[in-house]
Amino acid sequence: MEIKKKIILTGSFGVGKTSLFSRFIYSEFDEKYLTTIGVKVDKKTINIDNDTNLNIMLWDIAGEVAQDKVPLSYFLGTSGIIYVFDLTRPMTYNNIMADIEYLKNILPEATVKIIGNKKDLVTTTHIESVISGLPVECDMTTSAKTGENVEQLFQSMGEALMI
Amino acid sequence: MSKMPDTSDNIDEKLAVIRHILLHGDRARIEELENIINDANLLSEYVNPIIDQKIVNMKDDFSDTFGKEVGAEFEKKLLLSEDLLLTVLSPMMGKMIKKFINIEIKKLQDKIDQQVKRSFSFKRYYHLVRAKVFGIKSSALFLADLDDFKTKIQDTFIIQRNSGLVIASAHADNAKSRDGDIFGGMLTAIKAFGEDAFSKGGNGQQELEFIEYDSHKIFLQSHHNYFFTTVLNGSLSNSEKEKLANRLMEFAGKEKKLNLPDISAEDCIYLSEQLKKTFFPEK
Ligand SMILES: Nc1nc2c(ncn2[C@@H]2O[C@H](COP(=O)(O)OP(=O)(O)O)[C@@H](O)[C@H]2O)c(=O)[nH]1
Ligand SMILES: [Mg+2]
Repeated sequence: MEIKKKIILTGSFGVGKTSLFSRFIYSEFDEKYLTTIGVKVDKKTINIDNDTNLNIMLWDIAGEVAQDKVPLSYFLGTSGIIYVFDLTRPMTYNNIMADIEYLKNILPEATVKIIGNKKDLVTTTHIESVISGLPVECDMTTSAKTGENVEQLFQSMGEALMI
Repeated sequence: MSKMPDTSDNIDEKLAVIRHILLHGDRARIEELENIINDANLLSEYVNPIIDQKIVNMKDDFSDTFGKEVGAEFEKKLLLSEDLLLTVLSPMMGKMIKKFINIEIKKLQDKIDQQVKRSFSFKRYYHLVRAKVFGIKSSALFLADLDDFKTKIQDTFIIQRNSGLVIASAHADNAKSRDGDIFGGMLTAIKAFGEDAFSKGGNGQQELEFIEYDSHKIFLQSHHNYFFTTVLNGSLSNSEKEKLANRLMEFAGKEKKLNLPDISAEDCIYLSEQLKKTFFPEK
């Protein structure tokens, strides 16, 4: 069985969304699509079990925009949201509560994963203190640079979407 | 075009002669149409029968067309009150008529251009002579061979409106293979972003309908939950565009499954087969 779902990457500018995207997908399109059109869509097939394939259509968006500046149409029809923040920059998670509420409001049915990225740049103690200080639960910490947890992130998202 | 060019052996000049003859008649026709549009009385003379017919049609299949959206209760009320029905429908009708006239004029101009641009053929020459001899308007004769356009459709997709997920697709045998899912996603994104950018400030919801790149054309037709995307190669006149639009409309009308909020994997396969049958039938 072939199933398709739309997943979006969101979060502040520079947190590593595009890097996670390209870690996960060998892209058919050039990066320039992202800068010229403002969005890039790619596909990756995840094997869920012997007879189920999940085709993830992953949307990445360019720019430094705040959540509520992103065109609503980007979010619509989305089954999964990956919200990325940068473990090294508090300004990328200071607003996390409001951002998540905004997303849950427009997409009440969607599965949300909150991701702390760039873990290669910080110590475990630092990670722990950042996460414990968050008003929401962080689902995973990743490094787009080393690739740590990137496959796991998308796999767990895929499985969550199949429930 | 100031003066009638001389006749000569040169094909270009022959074409110029024909262009002159053709445009002369059709320009008058365009002017006539313009006069009609600018004169309210004249316009209503042409348009009222269309409205009347539309109202009759609306009454007949009102519930088919609007039933779901309007809801049974409201629908009942509307049908009971003809005045109310007219109040609701008039602005819509006005828009439809304006669009209709615009399309007709564009079609006419487009047709002339197309015909003049096409290479000189005996068939056309024959038409022309016949037109001269029998006094039949040449444009009427040209209408007859609009049917002979070859299909240049490469791919058709049905794409879910917001998610951009491809519900169904079909392709010409010689079509370049492309990943439909990525194509559908990108297209949806471009469409959404474009519409978002251009609808700022305006009140009407504009929908992206056409993308042109080199000799490739992407024709979009939006429906409630989904949109059709047709990839074409080569030139496409307005009347061909309209023909395609009609075919897609027919398809949408026939395949009620498309209106379901969630379309099953089996339905997707079924719809792909229907697309194939409709747009790429086996010879
Ligand atoms: N060290 C490190 N750098 C990263 C990581 N992810 C992204 N970057 C860098 O952070 C910058 C912004 O990344 P980008 O993917 O463009 O962020 P986006 O704006 O969220 O798409 C780039 O210079 C990346 O190389 C990571 O996990 N570790
Ligand atoms: Mg980016």
